[in-house]
Amino acid sequence: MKYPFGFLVLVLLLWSCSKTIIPYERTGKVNAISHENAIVVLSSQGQAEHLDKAVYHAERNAFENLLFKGIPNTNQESPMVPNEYLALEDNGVILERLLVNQGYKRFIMDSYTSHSSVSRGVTFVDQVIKIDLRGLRNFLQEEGITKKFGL
Amino acid sequence: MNQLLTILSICFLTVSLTAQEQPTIQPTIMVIPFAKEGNSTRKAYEYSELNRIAITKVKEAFDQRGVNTIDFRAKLKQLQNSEALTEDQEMTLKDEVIKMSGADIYVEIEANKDRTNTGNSVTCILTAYDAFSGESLANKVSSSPKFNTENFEKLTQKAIEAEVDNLLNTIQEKFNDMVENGRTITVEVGIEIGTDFNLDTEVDDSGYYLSELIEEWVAENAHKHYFHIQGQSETKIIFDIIKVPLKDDMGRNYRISTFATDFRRHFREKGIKADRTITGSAITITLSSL
Repeated sequence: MKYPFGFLVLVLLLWSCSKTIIPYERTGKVNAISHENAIVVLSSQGQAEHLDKAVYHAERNAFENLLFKGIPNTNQESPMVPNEYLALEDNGVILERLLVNQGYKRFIMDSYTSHSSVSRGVTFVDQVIKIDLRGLRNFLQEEGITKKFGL
Repeated sequence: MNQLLTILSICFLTVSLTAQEQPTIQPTIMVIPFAKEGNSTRKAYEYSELNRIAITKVKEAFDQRGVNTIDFRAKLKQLQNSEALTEDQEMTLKDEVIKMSGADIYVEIEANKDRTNTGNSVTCILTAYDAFSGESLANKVSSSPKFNTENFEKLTQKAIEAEVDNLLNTIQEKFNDMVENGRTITVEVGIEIGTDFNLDTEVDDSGYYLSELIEEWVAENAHKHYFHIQGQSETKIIFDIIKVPLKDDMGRNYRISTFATDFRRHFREKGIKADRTITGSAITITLSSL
């Protein structure tokens, strides 16, 4: 071995490249497919270093958009949680369990990947998610994150 | 030991009662059909199956959110049982039903058929009003998808289902705004004919005109000091927006008469009599010498 140090650097460089971690980032890439009777079907895009994580990012993105932004052309055009910052301040633990720790899964009636592709080690997915809005709304009310209908 | 347990129970009860959050006030809601000018609300309900279906679907949506609605049909019958209606009375039936029902919010619905060569659909117009102030709370227009069918009842159902959640969400947003920023009332202050002062008169030694003193008092007493003057002359000043809180300092429902009473008592000290009339959310005050 003539250049052991250079070889080691090269290996480390390659290894670090292959281990790029793509963090979750909320985007507006959530679109309405259909809605009826307190059920909404959305298409959400996600990306990560592998398929499972990309699906998780897409699903979490769909729920965060529903909760804090609202989705145009659906039965939930306005956000379910009126003030994100206050909600996170008052109910951060519950919201973390719901969004980060995938507590939202219990409100998903169906979820499948309609399209996926891999480019430069990044997996991109289009995830179709069917969500039980009534169940989600009741959960938010029971946990005191949102108020019941009324003054 | 028993005494200790009793004291502990009382302490626990007190703590749990004080820890309780203010409960959400459930407003009473009634869903009614829209009646065009010259038509009665009763006919708009009885003669239009589409309107009846639309009303039922909206009521259903409120039920699913845990809100009980006042039944328009029942109130209508109640009113018709109590008196035989003349043609003129039929025309003002809507106001009568709303007044008698005690509804805080009423939602007006209109369902229309759309026939085209490419298919039929139904368009529904939904408008929610605050019965107290007449303020519009939410407006939605919803159309069903086009189908080659004559089943307009099903199309009405589709049209309502598509937009009713958004209607309720918008109403809730307005409720949240009311809790935060208060309710709107209007106040009109006028001078009684023959009175020896007007709004441009200095009534005390502060050097301010009466209109300026009124404005100052309103600014001081409006919720978050929010008000708007629509117009002003020597004899009249109109406040088209004055925000009042939903609750008073004791946590009870704020009564509009409280605002009028406070106004009357304040100006009484300046030797001015303030007679007031309250209609819904509108206060009319007439000033004269004591």
